[in-house]
Amino acid sequence: MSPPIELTSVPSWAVAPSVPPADLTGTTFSVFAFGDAAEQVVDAWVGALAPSPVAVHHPSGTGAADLDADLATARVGWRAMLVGPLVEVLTLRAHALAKGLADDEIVVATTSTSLRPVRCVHCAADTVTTAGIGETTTCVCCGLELLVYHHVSRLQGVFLGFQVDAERWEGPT
Amino acid sequence: MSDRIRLVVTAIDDDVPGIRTLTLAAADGRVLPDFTPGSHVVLECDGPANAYSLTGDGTMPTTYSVSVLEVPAGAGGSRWVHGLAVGDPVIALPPRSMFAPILQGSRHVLVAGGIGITPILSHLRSAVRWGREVELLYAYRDGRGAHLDEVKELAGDRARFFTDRTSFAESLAATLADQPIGAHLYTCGPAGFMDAVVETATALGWPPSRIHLEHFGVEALDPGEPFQAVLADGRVLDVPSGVSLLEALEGAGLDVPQLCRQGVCGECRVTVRSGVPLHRDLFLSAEAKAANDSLMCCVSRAEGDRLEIDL
Ligand code: FES
Ligand SMILES: [Zn+2]
Repeated sequence: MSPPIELTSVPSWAVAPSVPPADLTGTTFSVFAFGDAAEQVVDAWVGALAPSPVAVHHPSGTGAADLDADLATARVGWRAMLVGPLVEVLTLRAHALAKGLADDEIVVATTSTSLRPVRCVHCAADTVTTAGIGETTTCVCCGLELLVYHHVSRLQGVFLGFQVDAERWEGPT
Repeated sequence: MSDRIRLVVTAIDDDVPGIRTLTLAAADGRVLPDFTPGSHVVLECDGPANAYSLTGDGTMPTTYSVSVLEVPAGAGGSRWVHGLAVGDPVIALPPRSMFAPILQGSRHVLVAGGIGITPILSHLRSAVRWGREVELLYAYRDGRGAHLDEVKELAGDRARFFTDRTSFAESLAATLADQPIGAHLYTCGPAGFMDAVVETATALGWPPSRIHLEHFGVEALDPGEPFQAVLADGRVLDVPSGVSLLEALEGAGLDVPQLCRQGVCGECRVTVRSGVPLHRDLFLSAEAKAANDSLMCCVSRAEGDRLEIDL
């Protein structure tokens, strides 16, 4: 059995779509929005933060370059606010954390959590899957049957998956 | 009980009125345990022990140095320090770190108020030694600034000095408004001073994870709510408001190790079997507090009306 989700490294927004309010404790803001469904959230955030200026990005790639550009001139007080499908926001959050942003400087909203990135611990390839936590998926690279484990690597932005072992179906604890 | 370090006073500096700087060396002449910048030691006094910040950078120290403000109305630790002479023995507990620099920080903003310069000086020395980007704001009462010359020499124009509130408040706000992401803020001083620093930072959007405080000395604690302590043998002790659990245990004839009686030394830790402690000490880490399986019985109490302890 999996532990309750609040005791794992899996953020609640990685389990079900969730939209937190804008972080009013910041002083300057950048929003990174992925997909059409994000627009509603962007509008709500920008409205809540007014009259503070908000830089809104619609990255075509991972958003890492946009984030780096803002980061280069950002002062403490800046908040990065990410919204979009789980795969995109997990990836960009990992990049932001790697660049030294703190958890309390990043706001994450998910518009969809049906696809999740799973890193195979055996071959290190990432598989994007609809399998949920505790379910299995086939590694796109090595073909092993992977259990989607209830752990998100913060700096990699992926769930961990390892081979299902009939003897130890519950996985490492 | 932790291992004690036997020290001897090797120098005393009373240049700044009301502030005494003690240099302490190992009684056996050896190198002392390293410490993380911002660490403190607990010194056994003739009354309850007290914690003092170490002002060195912590790398292979041959001496420990502390600066102590004389508080005539205080619990006696400061008076004891001010009564010491060169050659006197002093017993210390090993240094502890509760105020460490964040090494991956891109910049370190140090803000000291009065005698709060002591752990900040340790941070400054370490930052200069290892080439970390650092900046210091130091507010003190005119004529009462400890370590001014050392700070000037170490930091040069990276240090600014203030003896009036208004110019300090303005400079603080201007400094905190313009720090690169990756900067961390460290402050030590009287409670009201640190509150003001935190308030300024927070208003400028600083998230809690970038703000680091060192509480020195111990603020007067409120008397607390009464509760009952259940001992391992089943006895039930009443701990009234205004009486510490330690005092109640001593009153019942238990011999509990203790040194500081103010939540800094770590001697009086008691295992909790059930019930939720109300932590009020400065010794346990945030994780240890959250585990709720032990408490420092000299200052901490119960969240509810009963606490079962392993004594
Ligand atoms: S006696 Fe020192 S922490 Fe309680
Ligand atoms: Zn694989």
